[in-house]
Amino acid sequence: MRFFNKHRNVELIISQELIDEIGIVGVEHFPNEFGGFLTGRYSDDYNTLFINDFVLPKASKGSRFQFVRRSKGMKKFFRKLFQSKKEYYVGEWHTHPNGSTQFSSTDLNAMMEIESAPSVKIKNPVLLILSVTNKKLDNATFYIYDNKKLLPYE
Amino acid sequence: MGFLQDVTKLISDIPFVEKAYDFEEEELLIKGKVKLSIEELPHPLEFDVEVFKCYPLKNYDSESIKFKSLDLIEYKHVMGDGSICVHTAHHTNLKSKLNYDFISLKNWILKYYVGKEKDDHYEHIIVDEKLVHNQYWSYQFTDIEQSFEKGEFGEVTISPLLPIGTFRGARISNHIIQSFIRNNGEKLDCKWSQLYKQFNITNSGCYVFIESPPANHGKFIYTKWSDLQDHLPLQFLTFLLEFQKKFIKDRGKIFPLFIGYNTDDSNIHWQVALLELGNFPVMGYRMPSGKWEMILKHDMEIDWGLTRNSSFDYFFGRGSFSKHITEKKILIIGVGAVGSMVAKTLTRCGCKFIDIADSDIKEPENICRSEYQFNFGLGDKTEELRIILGTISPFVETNVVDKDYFQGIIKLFHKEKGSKLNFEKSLNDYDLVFDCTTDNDLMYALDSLDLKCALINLSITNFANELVCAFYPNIYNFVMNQFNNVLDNDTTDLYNPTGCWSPTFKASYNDIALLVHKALSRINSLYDSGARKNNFVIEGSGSDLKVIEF
Amino acid sequence: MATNKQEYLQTVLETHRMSHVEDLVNKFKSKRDEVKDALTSHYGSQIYSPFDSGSFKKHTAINTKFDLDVVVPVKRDSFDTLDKMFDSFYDFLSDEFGENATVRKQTVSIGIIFEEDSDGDVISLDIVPGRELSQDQYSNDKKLNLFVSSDYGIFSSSTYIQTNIQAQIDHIKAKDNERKIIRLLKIWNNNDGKEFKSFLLELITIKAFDTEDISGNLWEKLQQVMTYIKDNVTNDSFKLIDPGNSNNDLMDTLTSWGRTNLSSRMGTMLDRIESNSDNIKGYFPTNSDFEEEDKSSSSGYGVKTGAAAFSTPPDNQRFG
Repeated sequence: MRFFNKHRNVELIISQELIDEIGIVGVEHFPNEFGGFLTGRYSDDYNTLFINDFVLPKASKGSRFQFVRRSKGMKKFFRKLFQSKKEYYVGEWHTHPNGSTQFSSTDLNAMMEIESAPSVKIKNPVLLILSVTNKKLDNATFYIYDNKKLLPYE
Repeated sequence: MGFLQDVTKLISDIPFVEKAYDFEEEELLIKGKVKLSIEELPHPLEFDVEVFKCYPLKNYDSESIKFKSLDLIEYKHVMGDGSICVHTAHHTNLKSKLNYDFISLKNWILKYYVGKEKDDHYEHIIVDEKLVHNQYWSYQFTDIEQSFEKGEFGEVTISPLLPIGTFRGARISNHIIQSFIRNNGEKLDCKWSQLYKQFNITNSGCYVFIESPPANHGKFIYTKWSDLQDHLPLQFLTFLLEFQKKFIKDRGKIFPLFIGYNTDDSNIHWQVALLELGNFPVMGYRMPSGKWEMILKHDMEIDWGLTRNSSFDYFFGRGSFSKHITEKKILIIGVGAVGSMVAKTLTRCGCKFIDIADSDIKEPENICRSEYQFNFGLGDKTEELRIILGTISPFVETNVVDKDYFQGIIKLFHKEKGSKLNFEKSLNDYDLVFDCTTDNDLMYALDSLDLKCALINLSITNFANELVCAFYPNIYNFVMNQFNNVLDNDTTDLYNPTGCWSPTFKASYNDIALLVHKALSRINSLYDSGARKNNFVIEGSGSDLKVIEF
Repeated sequence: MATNKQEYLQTVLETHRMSHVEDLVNKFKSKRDEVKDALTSHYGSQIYSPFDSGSFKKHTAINTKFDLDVVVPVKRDSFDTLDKMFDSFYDFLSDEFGENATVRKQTVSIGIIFEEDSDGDVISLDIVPGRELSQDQYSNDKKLNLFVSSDYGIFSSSTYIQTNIQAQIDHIKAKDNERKIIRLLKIWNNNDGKEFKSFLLELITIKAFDTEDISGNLWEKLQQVMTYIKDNVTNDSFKLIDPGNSNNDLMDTLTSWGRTNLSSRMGTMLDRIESNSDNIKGYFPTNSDFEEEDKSSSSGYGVKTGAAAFSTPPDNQRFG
């Protein structure tokens, strides 16, 4: 699937299968929120993002309206991923059980902190929010983070 | 054998001791006589010897062996009782100590008796400082611009220092001399700082300059007023009597008379005689010719008080910073832990102009690692520090710069046209500016100014692991890079005293002082040698300090 | 966090590019043209056509500090003496622009500093009048005599200096690698007390490239040039001949202390960068005004400057 963000004039490419797979994991954790990392790579001209996989955090805590993920011990994982496949961390995903795919202020804050962290080298991480029920994935929206704002892809 | 026999035997064994005789034991000491014969001496010299029973250890703080000869009193390093000041060394062994001390005596004989040497440096004359009205009286003086001529006299104005203190167990009143007023009205001010110049003048006295020391053999101060008869001009005695008449209602009050003389080509000293109003040592009587004659009361003893030379060179004679720092007009912005230590160290090292700027208030929790004091309570840091610096050195001038000034710099910096020029102008009035604020905004603003003065930024990482010192114009970029990238400044564990509004680094007085002193020592040597002022970082792990130059 | 020195230096150069200040550069150029036109119409056939020199022309300018130099070649017979020429230029420029600019005599040039405009920009130009040595000789070899203002003590014994500005410009023509290093050294010098003349740094860099085999990536080249400077400037026989005048050795402008200082600055920097690559940022700052624009102007996915290749997201992030 191909998404487009007008604001930065960029593309995002991800397979339907991968979105479905993420959805299944999300439904499994219903009614609690759940999430993790997205990995992939940018095109050479930095205009296209290929999301190739998702990663579950080693530790996390989810409740009905909140989700906290850890990233301890993940540095080694990301280094290996880069060395073996030239792929890297590109953003975050999490579910909103029985909710919309609209981001919350908590989500925006988290993305701001992520972008400003010295260990994060990218300026426009993406955020995927999946709305899930106890049975299935309802909807999924990608956002691009740019300068303290989250802007959706279409 | 007993102490008496041991000492007598050991002394007799010393090669240049011709004879040791008449040794006898008293309660605290043994005493006897020795005859020394030394090749360079035309005839043997005799000394009385006293050896205290604690010998070879010291008797309180004084030597436990004494060599005396009243015949030698005119020679250098001989006290009023005829005892010779010899250099002695620590020994616990009786024989070694006796040998050493006799060799010292021999050296004195060769140098001062045979060689008749005079030392280059001035030695204070020996004054028997007296208790007057059951207390001691002290007066400190400092440099003045002008010099004095033989025979000139006039008034002296005096201010008291803090009215506390004892001296050798008795009460003491301490004073400073403010100015000498010549008979023609010309006022010669002592070069104290403004703080001291503003002290109330509560006493007056008078002075007379007699050029040479009021002492016998240049070292034993006169004891009787009659000794001074030839030195005090007649007009001065008249002046004294008029003075007494003028203040006679204060009968009984102490009135200091300062007697001045040269100690070398460029320095003078003052001794103070304490007079009592109504009982001055001068008498006037009418000669048969009808003329009035003044004489000094013959038998009357002189009550000498205490004077001390507190001129700048004496005050800082034992150690100070390079003239390339002490003479500079200095501004310290930010007088927290680091800034207050810088200010105090500069003051103790002889700096004369230190202005300070800070808008902060001193709270009790600031005291443990800065130079502030509990007894001042709460207050503006700058005002307290100004007083503290003044109490240390009577030569430091400290002005408090408007507390909002540097806040203003940051606020106006980007907005107001012309503000840059104004700040440049006011900073360029200084020679050397220390920024100890750890305020990044201010650092940025200052670094962007076009400065003629030197600007030094000092900041410390958390736990006082490192101190970063940067010199204008490479401050902002260097310091930010050190803190953000190079140094491991762990700011997750800052100390948050009351809520989140003012986190500060963690470190003790000792941690910080160690780094600040090392940094100032380096800055001093850079200024002294005139070397290029490269930025540096001091790494302080444990007690090992490592300086890395950039 | 280690710094990739090669990438970082690229960013330093990038953020100091003149293109970031295009509007300002255009203002400089239009003022320059205004002055050139005024000179051409006033002096007419007394002069040859004025040309640009300085760091603009040499492509070694950096956007944190620059001015524009204009050289005006004057015909031999136009003025009896060099000081009459200099005064004539000064008087004319004062009359023409003095109302809204400060015009002042400098060592070999006349400086025009225009009053701050509504954007707060200050435009300054240096006009360098130079007379050919003999009538019509300029067209052959481009040599000029410059008047040296007597207010400046260093040349107090002589009141003129012979130079060939065109030869100086040609000396650096088509030397892209050298220009990058020169710009980096100028950025360092500007940040470190401005102790050294840009022209000296320029000549020494070109000499390093001419003498040594300077190769590798940007950092490696810079490192080799710095090492060359460190190893050579304290050598008494080391010379930097001005391509405009073979009698002029730029090393003469340094005292022996100055030579030692330059060498030890290079040594200290190399040591510090060697012991911790992050220290490179303390010596070669980026121009923070233009840092943001780097790679992420307004389109495309942005990557932080000088960064290692992969990210590790921070711990304990809360989503809702």
